[in-house]
Amino acid sequence: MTDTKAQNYRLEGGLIERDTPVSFTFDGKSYSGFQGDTLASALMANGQRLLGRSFKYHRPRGLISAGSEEPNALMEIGTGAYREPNTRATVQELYPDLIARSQNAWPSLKFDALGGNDLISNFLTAGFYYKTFMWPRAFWEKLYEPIIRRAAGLGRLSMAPDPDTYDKGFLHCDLLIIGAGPSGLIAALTAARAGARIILADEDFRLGGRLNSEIEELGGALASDWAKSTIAELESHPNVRLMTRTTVLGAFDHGVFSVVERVNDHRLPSDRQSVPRQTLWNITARRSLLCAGAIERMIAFSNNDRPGILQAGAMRAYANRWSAAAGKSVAIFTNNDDGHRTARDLMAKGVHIAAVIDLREGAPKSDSYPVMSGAQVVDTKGRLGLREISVRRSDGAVERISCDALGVSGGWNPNVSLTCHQRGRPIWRDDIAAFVPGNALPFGMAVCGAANGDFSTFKALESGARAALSALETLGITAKKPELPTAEDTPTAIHPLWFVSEGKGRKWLDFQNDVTVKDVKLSHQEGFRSVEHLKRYTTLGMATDQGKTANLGGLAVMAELTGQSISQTGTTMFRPPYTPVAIGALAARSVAENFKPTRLPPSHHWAERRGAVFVEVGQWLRAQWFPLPGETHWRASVDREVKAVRASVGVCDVSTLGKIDVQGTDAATFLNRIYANGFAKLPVGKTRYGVMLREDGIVMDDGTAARLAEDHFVVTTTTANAGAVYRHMEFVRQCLCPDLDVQLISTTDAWAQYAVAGPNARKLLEKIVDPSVDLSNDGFPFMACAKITICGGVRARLFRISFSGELAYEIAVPARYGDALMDVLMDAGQEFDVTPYGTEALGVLRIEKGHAAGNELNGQTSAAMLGMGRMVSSKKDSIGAVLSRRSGLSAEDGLRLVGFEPLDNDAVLPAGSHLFTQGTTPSGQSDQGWLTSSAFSPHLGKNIALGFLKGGDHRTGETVTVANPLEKQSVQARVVSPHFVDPEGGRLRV
Amino acid sequence: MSNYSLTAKTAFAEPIGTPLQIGAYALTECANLALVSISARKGQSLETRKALSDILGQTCDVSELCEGEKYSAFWSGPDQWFVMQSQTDDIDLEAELSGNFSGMASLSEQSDGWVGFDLEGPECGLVLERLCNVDQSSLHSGRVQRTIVEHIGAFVLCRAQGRSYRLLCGRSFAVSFQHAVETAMKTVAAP
Repeated sequence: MTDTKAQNYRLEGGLIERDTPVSFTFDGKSYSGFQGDTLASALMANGQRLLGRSFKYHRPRGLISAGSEEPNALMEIGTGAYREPNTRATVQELYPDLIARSQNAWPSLKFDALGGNDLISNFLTAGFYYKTFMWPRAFWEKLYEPIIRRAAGLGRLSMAPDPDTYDKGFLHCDLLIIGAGPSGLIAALTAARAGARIILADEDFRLGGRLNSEIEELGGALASDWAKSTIAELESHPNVRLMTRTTVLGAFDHGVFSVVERVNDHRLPSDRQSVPRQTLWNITARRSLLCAGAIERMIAFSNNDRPGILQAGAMRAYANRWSAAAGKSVAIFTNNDDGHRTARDLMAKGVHIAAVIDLREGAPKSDSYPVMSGAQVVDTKGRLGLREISVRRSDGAVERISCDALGVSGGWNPNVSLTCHQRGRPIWRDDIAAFVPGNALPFGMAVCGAANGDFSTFKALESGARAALSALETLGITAKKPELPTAEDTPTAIHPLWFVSEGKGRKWLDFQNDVTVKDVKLSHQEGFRSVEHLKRYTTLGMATDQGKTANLGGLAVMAELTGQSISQTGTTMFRPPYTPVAIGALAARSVAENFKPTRLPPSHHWAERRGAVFVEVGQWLRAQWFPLPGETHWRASVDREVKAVRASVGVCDVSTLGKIDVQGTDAATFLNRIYANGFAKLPVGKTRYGVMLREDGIVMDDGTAARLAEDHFVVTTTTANAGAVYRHMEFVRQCLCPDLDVQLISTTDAWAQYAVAGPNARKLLEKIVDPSVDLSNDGFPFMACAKITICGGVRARLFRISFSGELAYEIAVPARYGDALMDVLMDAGQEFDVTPYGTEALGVLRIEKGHAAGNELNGQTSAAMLGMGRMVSSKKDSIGAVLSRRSGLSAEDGLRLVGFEPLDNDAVLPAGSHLFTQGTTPSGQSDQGWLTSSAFSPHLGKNIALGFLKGGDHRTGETVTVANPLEKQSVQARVVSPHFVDPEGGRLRV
Repeated sequence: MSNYSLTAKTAFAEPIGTPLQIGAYALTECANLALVSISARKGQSLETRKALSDILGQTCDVSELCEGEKYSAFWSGPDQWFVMQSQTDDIDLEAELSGNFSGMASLSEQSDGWVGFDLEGPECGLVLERLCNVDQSSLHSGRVQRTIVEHIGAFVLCRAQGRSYRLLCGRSFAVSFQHAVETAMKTVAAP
């Protein structure tokens, strides 16, 4: 804190809180400012003109603007993981102990080693990279790109995860007002008094827009005081939501806006408490008013990029709002009346005005400072900051003027960006030499104030009130026009000037991307004449500022070169986001384990207590296996679980399978259309395996349907397709079969459903079902289903179905009993060494049995491929049946699901490997199919696999080559039946 | 008689719901909420509405929540309603009501398909606006809205506008769902 510089450039007055000094550091040096300062205004008050180095040439750069359009003053804010690069100093509020660093300079801002790029700038013009780093090709990724990226960096990322939290939300309103300047405030007042629900959003931390930056009177009061009292009234209306520090990023369909609120960027991370740093709001507005104001444009002339050269209007804002002087001796270069206001205001604050250089002959005269009519700035001097300007006077002589700041006013561009997010195109107005919003605006939007080219304060007020009235009228809300305060109403008097032709130095158009007038000329010369090509060839208008201060200059130069009007030349497309937005804000709460919701099956907490290893299956978290002490490898656990099922009994939570309740008098008819195989005659109390096809004949899903009553089925889907199958069935019900009496509803979460599988499954279940339930093979045969009670009256559903190939049941109880049922099954099953098993063992068991699952039902397989061609009934019509008979899908020599065993018992058959006839050279042409699923079978003591093989059902016994060329693997395998265990199915039926 | 018995647990594997109090906001899992979905059979829409209003003592129209003495109900889709009953023991609400809708509607037990959370506090809207894209100015007391909360399908039942809501989500989502609501409550309640 010893190095604190005095605020030598601080003026009197302004809207800063002088009672609250704020200390901060910039590049390691301590400075002091006040509450109400931005980082930019505080640095200006301390006389710090040099704030950064340019992107490409590492030119010394300072402030250009006082708002979010800033191209130059990009800073790294904060330290460690909190460090945020590319923060515009002009919108960063000053807070105690803020730490800011300049970017793109090494070892220091004053002595930047890469400043040498500037000396070889002739070689670094537009297209340089494209032309130079073409050869040799291999060098691009490993050599050229890393070097270029290092040299041309903006800020540095911390490379650590963002430690801040972010939030999101949804708001609705009658009227969204974007921008709280004069037009926005009066519009808000009009709507607020009428009782409309309004949101007034402004990116600044102080509402009022330009009113806070001008020494003007509104209704006899100082402009900023009028703003203050208007805001006070707005705050008193309960139907008004004022949102400061809030940027509308994009205008989307149907009046939806994406909006970021910087809740906490004006506090140190340690002072943010638990409140999110930023909130991304999705605002649905019935109507919106764009009151986003205008951005002043620069004029390009030789060496117009020195620190100390900035927008005249920004200079005025710094003086009036933040009482900071851009220099001790200031010159102004203007082509319109607005530049003179800056001279007037700075003069009034005691700043010396060296000269006002006005392009126009007959510029307004002044008694207080010299005005040079018909003159132009042709060059500047000062390596790290402006020292002198050269002016070509109207009499032809060149005059050198000493000054340390130059305000430039080339006119004002209405801020039309948001009007173009739905592909609207702005239109050119000659009288103000600017683009204004076109007619194709986003839904419900109107534009007023300076954003619509109404530049005087009075016109802004008038258009704001008028636009609010018309918007409210379309909503059927009656409003009264408020009395407008008297205000400045100067007409725009401008003589357009885009660049000064005289002068050999570079004339900068885009400060952020180091694009000059010469680059645009080169682009034209090389045939890139459309504005979109110009942008991509020169990078004009790219990067964090998106050319807010640069675009019009660039296209005006192009217009001149092509001999077209600016109107004909047009603008590039404005796209969201309006200003840069942290990726964290877009992610909001959806990060890390909260990236997506997690579904937990009913036995989850039980499995946690049991020490299960979990796996993500879509949204579900399922137990993958249950390791026992001493098991050091997953295979040990899985092999044990598989063997236990085959030898005695195991329990697996299969609640994740989709359950759809199908009811109605036509329920059977409905399912008969949904499933390819017959369902109409399924008796009550029976379950049937079914295959459903898509309209194109490809298999959509498989599963079972159990008939609990004449008019009641429970359809089971695969876990992965639960949502898709339900959607498909609703579509069929509502759109294809509206005449049927069918009701559908998902009951997936309502039931805890466990597979109880293995030779002792019946003995185990007999211990828990109520005595009235007959589980004998005759009383409850294979594929039976029933509503039963267990454990003394708890209602349950029992299905005798098997995925493992063993005697097996699935028992379902209301999910609230799921946790307890696991305990009961383990307790009752002790005498059978009952074993809980996870998805991995489930997978091994089904591969051993040859059941198709997700790997096989991948949206490319037909019923014939799965060996289920004959299940597609020819006796009825069902969805997809006709197209499944296409020759390509049903050819005899088509792909068929078969099993594979390696000739060498120790060999592994990797899933995904492709199959080739022995002796052929593996290639795309000789490809015979591929392996879909593979596992180590504890039952067979070796690896086995399922796969699709051309004509596979006729090739049993053949040896094929299983090739994995990527890993240079090749294994010989024998084609076998896919049913490795109990192919006759005897075990299921005992 | 089986030697074993089953104990009901919440979606959080607890015997009863644990209320969360954060600042002025309270979130309480409704334990033992019995639910049944009722879908009118083809051509039985009017009869089903009549039967429903008989058990509720009032009609339950589109997007409405009707809280009666014994049963409450809310509209959940065209010709479809959910009937709720809060009680202390596990009851088979489907069996209890099936007689009232015999031949006119399909009933499905949903008691364990959904978890209900009661969100209460002086300005609950501030919590809800961070969770779901619902225009709360039109979600009056006695209205219901099906929506998405943190990528989770949900019902928002407005019991007292701005002060009291019941949120329903699928049981398997309950832990994630509660976490989302809790996060929003903390953000809003922060000083």
